[in-house]
Amino acid sequence: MDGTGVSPPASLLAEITHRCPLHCVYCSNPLELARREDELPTEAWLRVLDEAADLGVLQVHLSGGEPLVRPDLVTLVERATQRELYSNLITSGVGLTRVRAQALRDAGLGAVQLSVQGADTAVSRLIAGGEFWEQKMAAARHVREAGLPLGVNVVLHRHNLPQVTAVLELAAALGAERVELANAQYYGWALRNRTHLLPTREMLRKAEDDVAQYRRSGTTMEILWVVPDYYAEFPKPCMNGWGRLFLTVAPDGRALPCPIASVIPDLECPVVTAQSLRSIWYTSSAFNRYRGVEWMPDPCRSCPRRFEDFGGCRCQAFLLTGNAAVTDPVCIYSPHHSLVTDAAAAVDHADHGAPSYRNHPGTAQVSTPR
Amino acid sequence: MVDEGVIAGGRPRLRAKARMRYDSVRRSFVLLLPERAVLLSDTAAEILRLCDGSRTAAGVVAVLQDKYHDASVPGDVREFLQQAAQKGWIEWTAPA
Repeated sequence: MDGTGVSPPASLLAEITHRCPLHCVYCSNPLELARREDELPTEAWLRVLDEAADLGVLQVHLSGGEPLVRPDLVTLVERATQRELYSNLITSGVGLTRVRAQALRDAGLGAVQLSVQGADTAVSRLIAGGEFWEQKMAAARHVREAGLPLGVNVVLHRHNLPQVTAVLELAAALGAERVELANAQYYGWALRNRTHLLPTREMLRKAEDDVAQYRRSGTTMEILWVVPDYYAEFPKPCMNGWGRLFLTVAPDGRALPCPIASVIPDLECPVVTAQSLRSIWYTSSAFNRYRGVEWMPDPCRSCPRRFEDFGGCRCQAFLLTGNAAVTDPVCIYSPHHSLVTDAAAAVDHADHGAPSYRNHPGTAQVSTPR
Repeated sequence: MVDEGVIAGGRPRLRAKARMRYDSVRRSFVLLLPERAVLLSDTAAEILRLCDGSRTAAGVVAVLQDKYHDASVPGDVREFLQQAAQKGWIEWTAPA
């Protein structure tokens, strides 16, 4: 497109805050969260949206943290709409009142993705570390009453895989058009709670059967099942390739090729207040570092799958091996594959204990839920 | 599956959550949905633009026949509409 052979980004993940009322045990945000005073101001986000549109971004996912804690959310959606960006709100639902849902719709919001932690209040409380169930149910109603399309996102793990059918029934009852069942990925807080969350192979197999059976029941919901990494033979095509389609801007303005790329310690993340989004995308070292296939080591370098999975996840490679430039250990051809299989094999014997809850800056300490 | 009866009498309409526009960066029409963006051929965009709930499938065909005078139009349009419905791009309003 610009003579480099690099395509423009299609999607911007705008993490407008790290503040969040929930304390989810699998939170994928970095262990070190951006503080409120470090968040980009409204004007900077508006410029990011303008630059993204000029660069060829088609969709913007407004996320966090909980994006509803930002009072300028409607203003940001309005700008996205003016620039013909399709906007998605990715939310816990906490703070999504009827008035707010209508204001977002009037601003041109495209769709809402609501996170649900489980099929009942007990699992919801165990995972989110507080009483959020009623607010989530109300939020779903407000979304539907505003005429906005609703998607339900569920992170799956050993505590809710056995109730996956009930989760699907809940999503249908809430009026969801789409359900994303994403098996937990072990980064950030989830890696810390891995033994508490990782399911057994048998649990997964049963849940997969349950989902297949539900699909056959004639549902009109689109159901997406995101394969659990640790039980896969090959890694996922993380971000569909580094610097290929996706661009994340963190609350403090750092631009990242992947939402959790800041875990890679020597990755110099460009900042949107210092550099244009265009130069970040096309010329920054961070976005070019694992772009394409040139950077790949063996066994990826000669593997026919390299254009399919792009070597897997750089962040997972780093978190498990200490080196972001090796093949994702999820791959059966990785010399580090035993790091994954050992963790999975240990599940049956593990002491699952109590999870560790994430506390957010500016929120009160949570007590262990009942 | 969309049954033939609906196609015969129903009026195709772009789903409310879908938005179509021209993207000057990629020099192509794009269809935007909550979770995906689809690059459209000019032909696909032309058919989808006619799916506004005011015409039946036969009506869409008639407009394009008038313009292109090509015998393959009815079959191609019908096939495209069926696929577009399966992919969740369009819906059929009830036959009048």
